[in-house]
Amino acid sequence: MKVVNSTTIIGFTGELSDFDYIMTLLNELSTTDFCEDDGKELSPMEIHSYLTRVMYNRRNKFDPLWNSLVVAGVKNGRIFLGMVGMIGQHYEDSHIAAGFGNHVARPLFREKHSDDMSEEDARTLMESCLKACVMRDKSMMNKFQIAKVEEGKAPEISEPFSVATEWNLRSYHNPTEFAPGCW
Amino acid sequence: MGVDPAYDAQYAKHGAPTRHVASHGNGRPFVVEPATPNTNTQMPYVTGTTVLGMKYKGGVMIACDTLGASPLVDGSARSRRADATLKSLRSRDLRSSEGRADLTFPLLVSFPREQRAMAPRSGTSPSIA
Repeated sequence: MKVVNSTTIIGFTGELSDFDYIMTLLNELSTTDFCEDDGKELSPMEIHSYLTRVMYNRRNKFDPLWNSLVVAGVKNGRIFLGMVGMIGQHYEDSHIAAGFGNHVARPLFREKHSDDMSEEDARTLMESCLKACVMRDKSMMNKFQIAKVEEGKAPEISEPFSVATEWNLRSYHNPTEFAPGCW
Repeated sequence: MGVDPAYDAQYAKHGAPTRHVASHGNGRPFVVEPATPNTNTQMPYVTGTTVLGMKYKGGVMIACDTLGASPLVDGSARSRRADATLKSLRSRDLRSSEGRADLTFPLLVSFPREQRAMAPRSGTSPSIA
């Protein structure tokens, strides 16, 4: 997760070094903004749009950047949340999951999320989704960070934290009982 | 009734699934198919872990774990999605772009300077819990 500018944060999954290259591109844009010295910088929507072109362009060279990106930000009262995939597929939505969380977390979001929920409710929901992800996805690590952007405030990335997991559920006791051939 | 009479008979007797004895016996051990051409590159897919994002009243938040990954070989060659070294590049604060290259060398960042010489140069990656 990285802060792009004073209104935008970006989260990624996939290749670390490819994301580093993406941040190189974004920092070039930020540097240009700084040199213009007109107090303007790219909005979250513009950064998202730019990244869709970058990802799709590399896909057309058969050398995709192996990432899924989540762009989030608030500017001029508009809250933006968008996703860009490895081959340039992109959308924006009220809630987003890149990676395996598409199958695990989005049903929870669809059930409980609303755009005007309070920050505490949002954080509670987010942590329950993280719990669902970490208990279902063997490659996930129980050490998370949450980043947030609010209008007129600098983006914040939280300190790493863990969520409580529960492994004594009945279904976990003999999971292969009715599945012959498993071990 | 399904395709497995033995299972159906068990179900009829107990009214619930019991240990499943298939009609061909006690089940077969899982068998890996004989060597076939490797096809994992024909369905390219991002194998990193999840990033979640949601809007709320007055803002937006995203969450992810602090694990970085290497493509195609999920489960190996992991490194941290660096956290503490990530700094904000505000448009009026160019100095904070220092430390950005740290992302490229997460293993080096994870080790204190005096331990770097002891880190393995290749092969298994050191555990960075």
